[in-house]
Amino acid sequence: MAARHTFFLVSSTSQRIFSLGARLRYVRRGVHTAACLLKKDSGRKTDSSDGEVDPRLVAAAKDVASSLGGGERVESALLQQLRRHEDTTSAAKSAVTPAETSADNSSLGDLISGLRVVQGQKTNRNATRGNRSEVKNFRQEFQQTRQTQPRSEQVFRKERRSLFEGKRLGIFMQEEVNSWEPDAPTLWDEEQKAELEAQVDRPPRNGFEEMIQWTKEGKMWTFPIQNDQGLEEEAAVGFHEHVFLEDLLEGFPEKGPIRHFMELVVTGLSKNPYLTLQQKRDHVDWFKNYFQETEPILRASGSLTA
Amino acid sequence: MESPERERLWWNAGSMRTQTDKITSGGKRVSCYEAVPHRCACRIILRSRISRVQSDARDGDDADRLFNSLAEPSARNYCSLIKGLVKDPTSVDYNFIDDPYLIPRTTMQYKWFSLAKESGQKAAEFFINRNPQYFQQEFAEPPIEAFLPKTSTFLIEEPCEEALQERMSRKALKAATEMYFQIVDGGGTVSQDMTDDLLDLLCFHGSKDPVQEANLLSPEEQEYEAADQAFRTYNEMQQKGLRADASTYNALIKSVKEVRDRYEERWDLVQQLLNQMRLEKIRPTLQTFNATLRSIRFCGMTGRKSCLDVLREMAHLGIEPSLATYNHIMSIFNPSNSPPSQMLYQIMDEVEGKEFTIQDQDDSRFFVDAMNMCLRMNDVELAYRLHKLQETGENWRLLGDAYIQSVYYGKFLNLICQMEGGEEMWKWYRNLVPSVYYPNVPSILNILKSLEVSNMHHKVTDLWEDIRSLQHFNKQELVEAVLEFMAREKQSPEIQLLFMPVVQNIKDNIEFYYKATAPARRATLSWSSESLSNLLVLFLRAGQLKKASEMLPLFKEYTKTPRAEAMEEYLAVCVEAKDKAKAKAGLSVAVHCGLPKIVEYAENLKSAMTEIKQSEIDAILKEELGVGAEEVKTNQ
Repeated sequence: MAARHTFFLVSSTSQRIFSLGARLRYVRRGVHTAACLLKKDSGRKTDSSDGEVDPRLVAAAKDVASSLGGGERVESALLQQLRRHEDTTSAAKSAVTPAETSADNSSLGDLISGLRVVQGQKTNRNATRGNRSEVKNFRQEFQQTRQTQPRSEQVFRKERRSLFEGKRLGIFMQEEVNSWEPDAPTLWDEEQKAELEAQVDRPPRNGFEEMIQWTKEGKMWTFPIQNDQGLEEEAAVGFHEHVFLEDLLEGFPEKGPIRHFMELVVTGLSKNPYLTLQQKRDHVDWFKNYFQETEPILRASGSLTA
Repeated sequence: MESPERERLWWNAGSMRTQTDKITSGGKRVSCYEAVPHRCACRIILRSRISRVQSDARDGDDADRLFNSLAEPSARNYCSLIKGLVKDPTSVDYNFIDDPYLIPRTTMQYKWFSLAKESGQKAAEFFINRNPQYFQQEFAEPPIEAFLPKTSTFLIEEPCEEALQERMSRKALKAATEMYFQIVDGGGTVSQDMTDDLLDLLCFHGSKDPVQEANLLSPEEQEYEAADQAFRTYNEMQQKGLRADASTYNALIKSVKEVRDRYEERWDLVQQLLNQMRLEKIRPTLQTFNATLRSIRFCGMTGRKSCLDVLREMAHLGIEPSLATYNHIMSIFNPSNSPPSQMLYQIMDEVEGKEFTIQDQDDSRFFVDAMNMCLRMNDVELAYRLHKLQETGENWRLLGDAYIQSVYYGKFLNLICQMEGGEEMWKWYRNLVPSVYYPNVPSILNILKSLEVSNMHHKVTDLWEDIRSLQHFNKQELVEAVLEFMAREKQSPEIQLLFMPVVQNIKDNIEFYYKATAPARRATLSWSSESLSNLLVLFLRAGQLKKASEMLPLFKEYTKTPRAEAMEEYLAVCVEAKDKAKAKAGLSVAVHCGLPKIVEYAENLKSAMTEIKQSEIDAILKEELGVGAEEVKTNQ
């Protein structure tokens, strides 16, 4: 369980302090529990005289403490943390096994408090080399993704472009491809497209989608409502053709009951908005036909004269 | 003045929701076809669990705003209305809103009920088309074709090309082939195009093609796994100098893995085919490149090197990659036997925020494969991004059928259980279940684990309700896990009391199954020593000593051994309650089951409860041991 780790923070001094301060809540609790867990020596103080903290860091810590408003406690906690880092770095530098030292407590405390591992710090590269195997083991054991993510983001922001940048297959050239005619879609292609569409066709998710579907199928009025929906051919026929139907009376006798009757028929038809023009003409034609067929009977009854 | 013949469906604005008095547009007529059910206005009030399902109650607020905007002519765009509607996680699918009894509770029910609805519609259509003479009256003017029976007779009867065309356009394959043979037998000729179209239709829909033509297109053979034959036909075509089209090449490229075995050979063949396309001046399409990538999946490391080259070729030609492309690339870079690569991050960066349509049959595998990858990489943030992508625009349609969707959501929830805390997980759980996902037993076990880690034991009542409605209440593993979850640690008294309904329900369930007569049913759920011990402990902790003592005979009856800690807890509670009879019962069970620390228990009891005399204890011991001895004797 005694894993030896070295934790470093990237970036400048004050940023270091501030990021420490930001995690102060976790750090403090984490440190406390870690210390309790590893309590070999209950009264032990962790500020050893081994690690000397940079006076600039100390001053910065004081600034942070005052800005956070925590006062003495904040400042002392920050300084403790910094000293702990100094301990571990110095211990690693000197390659002394920090098994019993406070570094062990501290590293585990840092572990639990969730500080990040960031590699590549130049100053302590020698130290990391020695501990690399342990670092790897740690990774595999705990598998904290928060640690892999910043790495991936950094590394792959520069690789992101490379998904589309780089060498091509080199078989097709854009200019000549564009000059080729695409084949006309065969029935096969259409069938395939229809099959794909069928896969994506889902039942409507709400009343609106259902209404859209019905409108497409023709079961619903389209909005805004046109009363002539579905009767577009009729719209092309002018009203005068519906109303002025006198020329349809041409084949009929000039006088007599038949004429009278047909005039009434034509008047009625001209007022009828429900029949198409063709239907009206058919209507009149039917009468014409009928009267021609029954001509002998009409003559006999006297309705037709001449 | 409305003509009665002019009736159609009026948009019954009044049926949409109750606050429609403000609606000015649209009438309130209900046509004779459809009494629009007040589905959107009905509240489903059943048990407390189902009362969460308030159909369109959420939608009500959105729709109200939208309806008011309908008065302005500029806002009359259905699509923009719909995009404003947010999915309501507490309601069911729109299909099932009518009847609360028919709201599906498990995946199987979901499938049955949706299919039932569809099949009902088909049955009605079938009936109408079978008896068209009864459905001739046209209620609407002009008539609505959708409601009239479909004519099964064709207009043109004599053998001629138009007749063939008509039959093909109606996709009446049998009639079309018959017509074709009629023409040919009658001595007429059919144009090449027509024949090709007929062949396409036949091959696509899978019937045997009796006619062999010179330029038979090989994709048809592809579909039916005759890869060798397809390549042979292709070679013939090449020899005869016939030009194949793009879909032929696509199909050939797809089936390369069938005809070649080694990675290099496969990749070489693919490249040959692509070069051939260039020579014949056939324009490559998205499907070409997708087919190439699909074959590269089977080309091992050789293919992997060239995978991104293909992608860049596509980009160079201006072809926009589809989700299938990205799916193939992701799979190529993440073979199952090696640790996951970072390719998915790059792909997500590229794909985020875009809307896709279906262009390739592998598109619907993208989301589930990507979620699988997130699970392998244990990256929940990436999973959230993926989920967001799926919610963009119409991308949700590309999630696939019900089975693939359930796999996707299962993996998603699994990942959240593993990586996120209990609170977050519960939020997602409430979001997804049961509106889009019906968890299976392993999922629920994960959820239990996550709840346990976060000490959210009070959620067990809600979870048990869900388990019951999902019909998982009789799964042995799950029941034991739930009992373990409740009993592992001693909780605060309020929570122990909260457990009681669940505990009682579980006990009743198990007893019910013991009463079942059919042996298969009887074997569904049984007592085990863990479940009995856990129940004992749970009753004790809730302060129900009497119920706990009722558990004791069950140990003897089903010959299960209680856990030592459980027995100790029981005896301690008996001592506290100063209940001599129950203590003695406990001791006798302990002796009967042969727990190791019997003597200790006996001593403790004697010292703690002065009413118990040594003689009584001796009696118990004698009885139990005597019984034991007798059993031993009889066995001998």
